[in-house]
Amino acid sequence: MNWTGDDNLKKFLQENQPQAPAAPRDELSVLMKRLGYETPKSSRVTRTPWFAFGGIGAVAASLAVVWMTGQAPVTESPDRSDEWALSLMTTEDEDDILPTTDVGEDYLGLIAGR
Amino acid sequence: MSKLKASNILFDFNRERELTAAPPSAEEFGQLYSLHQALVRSVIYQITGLEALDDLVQETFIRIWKGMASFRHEAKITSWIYRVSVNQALDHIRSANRRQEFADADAQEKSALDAGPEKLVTNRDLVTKALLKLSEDHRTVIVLALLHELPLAEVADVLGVSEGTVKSRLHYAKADLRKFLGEYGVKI
Repeated sequence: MNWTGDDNLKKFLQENQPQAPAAPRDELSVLMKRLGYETPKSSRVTRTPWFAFGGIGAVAASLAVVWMTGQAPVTESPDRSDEWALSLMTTEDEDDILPTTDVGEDYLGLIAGR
Repeated sequence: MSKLKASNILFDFNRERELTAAPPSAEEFGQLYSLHQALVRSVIYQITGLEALDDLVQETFIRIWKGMASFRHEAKITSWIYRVSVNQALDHIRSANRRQEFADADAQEKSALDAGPEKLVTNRDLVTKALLKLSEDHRTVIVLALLHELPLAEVADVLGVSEGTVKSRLHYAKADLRKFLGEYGVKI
């Protein structure tokens, strides 16, 4: 490369000058906020119908759930409480049921002639 | 936006500021930002580099906003915006906290340059490094006079120095640039 004169220096610098990266997208809104300007908000008038629709929808959904619960057929189920009780029994519990050879102190007293 | 349209907006903007002397409205400030953000960003980047660029641009616009009331309407608004931007950039460089960081950056820069020209891939890299090698004063004059093509009188006004001082700084800055670029094979 061979350049001569002031114009060439200027031209070279201009053609190759450092280029700043683009500004962040939200730079202006951040600045506005810092300077105390209000950022645009959706008005209360436009928001009200959405709240109303939302509320009505929630109430309707609750009523539908209650109604469907009331309409569901009730079927008699067999009493399975015994099965539950048996399934919960442990081997230690079985000792109380099976016949025992433990005759106890009273029987031994009889044998001894007391 | 065409220059004519932009100047009309500025004319209206200035006249309204003169009449009200109140803080600009959100719309006015938005216009001011849209018209000048590229200029502010470019000047600050070319003087300080990438470090803290976004913060400095924001601080500059806050200074501009605060200074609207005291803005002299006989002055060109672009000159005034250049002045605020340059002052913001130079304050940043000269602040005590930053001095050490720049020294470190300069040391890194030197080691990168010592590694040889093959490390510099493009002419843009070369110009960036060449500008960083200059003192802040010389770099600022090069940025305003050669990159942004402001007339010397306007550069002097922006920097608050005489035109003679600008010419002198420009002369030495060009000599330094030529020397630096010459080391990398660019003979100007």
